[in-house]
Amino acid sequence: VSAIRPDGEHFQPVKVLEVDLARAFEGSPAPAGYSRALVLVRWNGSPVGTLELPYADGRITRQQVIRALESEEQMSQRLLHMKLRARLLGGAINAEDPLPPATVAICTRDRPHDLRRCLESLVAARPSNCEILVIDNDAPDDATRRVAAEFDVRYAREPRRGLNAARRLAARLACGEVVAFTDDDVVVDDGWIRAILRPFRVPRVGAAAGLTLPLELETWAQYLFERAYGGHGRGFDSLVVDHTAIAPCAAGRIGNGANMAFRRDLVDELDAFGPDLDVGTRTLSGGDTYALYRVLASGYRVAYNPGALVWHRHRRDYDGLRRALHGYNVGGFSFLLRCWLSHGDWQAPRVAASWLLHHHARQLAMSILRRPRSLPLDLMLAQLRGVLVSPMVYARSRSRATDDPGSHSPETADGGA
Amino acid sequence: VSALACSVVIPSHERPAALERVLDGLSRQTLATDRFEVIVALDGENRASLEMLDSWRRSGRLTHLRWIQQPRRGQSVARTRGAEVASAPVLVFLDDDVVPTPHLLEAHLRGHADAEEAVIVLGDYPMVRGAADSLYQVSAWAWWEDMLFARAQSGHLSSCRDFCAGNVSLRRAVFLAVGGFDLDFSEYGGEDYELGYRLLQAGVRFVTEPAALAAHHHTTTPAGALQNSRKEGHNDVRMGRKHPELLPGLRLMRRQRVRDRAILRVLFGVPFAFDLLVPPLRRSLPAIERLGLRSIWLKVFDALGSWTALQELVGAAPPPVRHRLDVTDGLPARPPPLSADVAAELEVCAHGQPLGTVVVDPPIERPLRPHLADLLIERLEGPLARAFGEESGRATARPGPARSYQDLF
Repeated sequence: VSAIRPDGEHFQPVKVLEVDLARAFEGSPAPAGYSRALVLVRWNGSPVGTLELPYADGRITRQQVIRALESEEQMSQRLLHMKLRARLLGGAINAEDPLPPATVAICTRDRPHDLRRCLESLVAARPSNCEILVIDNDAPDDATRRVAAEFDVRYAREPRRGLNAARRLAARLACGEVVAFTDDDVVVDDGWIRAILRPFRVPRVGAAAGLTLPLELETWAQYLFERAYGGHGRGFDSLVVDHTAIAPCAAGRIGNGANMAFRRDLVDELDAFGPDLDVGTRTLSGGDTYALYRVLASGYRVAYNPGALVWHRHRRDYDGLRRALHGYNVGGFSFLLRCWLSHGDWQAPRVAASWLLHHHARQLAMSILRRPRSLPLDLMLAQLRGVLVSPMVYARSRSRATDDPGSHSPETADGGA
Repeated sequence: VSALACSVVIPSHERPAALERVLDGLSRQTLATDRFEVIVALDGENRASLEMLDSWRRSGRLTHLRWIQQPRRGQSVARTRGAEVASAPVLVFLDDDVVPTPHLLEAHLRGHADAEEAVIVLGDYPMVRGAADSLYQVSAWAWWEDMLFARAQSGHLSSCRDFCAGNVSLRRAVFLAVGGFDLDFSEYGGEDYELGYRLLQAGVRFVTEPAALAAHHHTTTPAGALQNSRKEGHNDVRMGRKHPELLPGLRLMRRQRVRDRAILRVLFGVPFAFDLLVPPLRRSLPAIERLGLRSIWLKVFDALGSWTALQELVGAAPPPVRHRLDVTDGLPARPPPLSADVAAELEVCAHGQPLGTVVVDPPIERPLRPHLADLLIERLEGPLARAFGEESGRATARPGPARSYQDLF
């Protein structure tokens, strides 16, 4: 039974845990104040799936995880296939071949505390031929620069406000063949950099994305986002697709901006990060999806590797969640309008219709019926408002784009140790 | 003449501008121009190409430049005529839309020098992309990228389809010993695969040489490509007649629809199933007609016709080769000698117990071990789980997510 009720009255925080079934696990005692846990099940490091479990008798045991897994058909089959592959092929499935030289870019705006945590996890997991680049966007003060200076990373400033303006600068300054993006509000898994780079061994791969899981489920808003909205998760099965397997404008199903990587030459060639898109502009989101769209539409592959894992701290406050869901819809639908009207992509209206039908209509019905695992009605309405204003936002961002073709050249400062 | 290291043979049909780019690339080789000869085999009459070649000869930029002419008979005949007049020990075949980089000839020769026995050196020639490519160009580029990658992967099982005559080299003696191109493949397509198959059968090894790099300026239009497909289909039939064991792997046999694939699988796996199925269906036709079920009659009649025709074709294919595969300690480092082009049947066993039989259909494009691992897991999930002492959650196996490149990450 899920802990979700249509109201958050009796919500208790949910602990986020990891269990590797191939390794020893003594059981995890319940910390004070927690009655449930979201458990990421791994096998030899590879993510198998997540389970939400109660702390029975004050702890979560290996047996409890295995029993819960048996009733999850997809997860147990995934685990079985991993085991059989390992038995058939022996240990050397992912031989440590050389990976392309890479740049990891963190585009941040005034969140020095989050940034420090993110950099700590990144620096610990960095392979030798990988540089880390912090882009300080629209900085109000010197705090971000001071945090960056604590680490062995490059630092640059992008005064033009907007996540995509920062990403664009990152791609221009990057020295690697691949530029991987993550957000300041994540902690990366030990193997993240390697895992997000590995798909680039596959021919025609222009971009890769990975699995994003919640760093914590401390508040009702975080819990709703992860378990009712679906979070940033894109599943536990790896995927390699091109435009024959998925409509390019449905690229949002493959990845998100907190966990994605691009071949650097393609970013320029395809003008993947339009500065009038995403956080900090009217469109509020969708710059990541647009970049993946450009890659797919040009015949390149996009790969999804669930082994590339980052832990994202979702918004803690309810108002923040409502604004974020509104923003996803403004950005998502104005992105589809852009595909349709600017790129003449007639798959876009179909993708929009299917999104409305399968996501919005279904979730709205569940909200009205107050079913378990449904979003509160006001969050649904915030999403629908986002859909409604998206045509206006698209029209305005178009007219602004023609006024100001984005020739603005940023003042940059390379620094760090 | 004996100082020549290689002969470059270029068949060309009415594309003087493209041909000139190839000649230009050849004139800038790191291999001295007096160490190789260039033989252009003009397929069909072309005044512009002749004038261009004449001015090249006068310029002297290529020390040994020759050309021969023939009435339009297709590229396999043109290549053969070119090879016949060649005098160097190594033949390098280039297409007229394949522009060599400066190290190309040196790399081809190194490939032959490095190998102790006679080999085929496969050069790399990725397609050049334009800024505003059409969907057709994107698809063509994708095909080339995937093919070139697959054949260069370590652990790749050589296929006759790896032999693409656009940028390839082999010893002239080997070319002559296996009989060169089959001149019955008169127009387009398949003639290189057919020669590749005979070379593989003769035990000649294929090696890829990434430094033998050329830029492929693919200029075919969609209409031209469809015409070529038609000719390829024609030559597929010819290939199936000549080498019946290749029938199951031919494009003709690789229909995309699930229903068609299922029918083909049954046809190849249990041919007698159709002997059981067809007569009652045939006898039911008059009844269907009497009931006035016109559209059903037409569908059944049509299906029976296609099945019978397919059965005829399948009947020509010899039964798949059978191998035994013991997976007690996992897949052996050296799996059974499978062919990338010919169907095989694996009798899988573990701990002395049979687990089941798996048909390995051509083509095999991935490295063999991961390909086999996924195939076994898909077809024998339950028996494998029991043999390895793992819990198999379900009684019936359901195919997992399709894997193609995932083992790379």
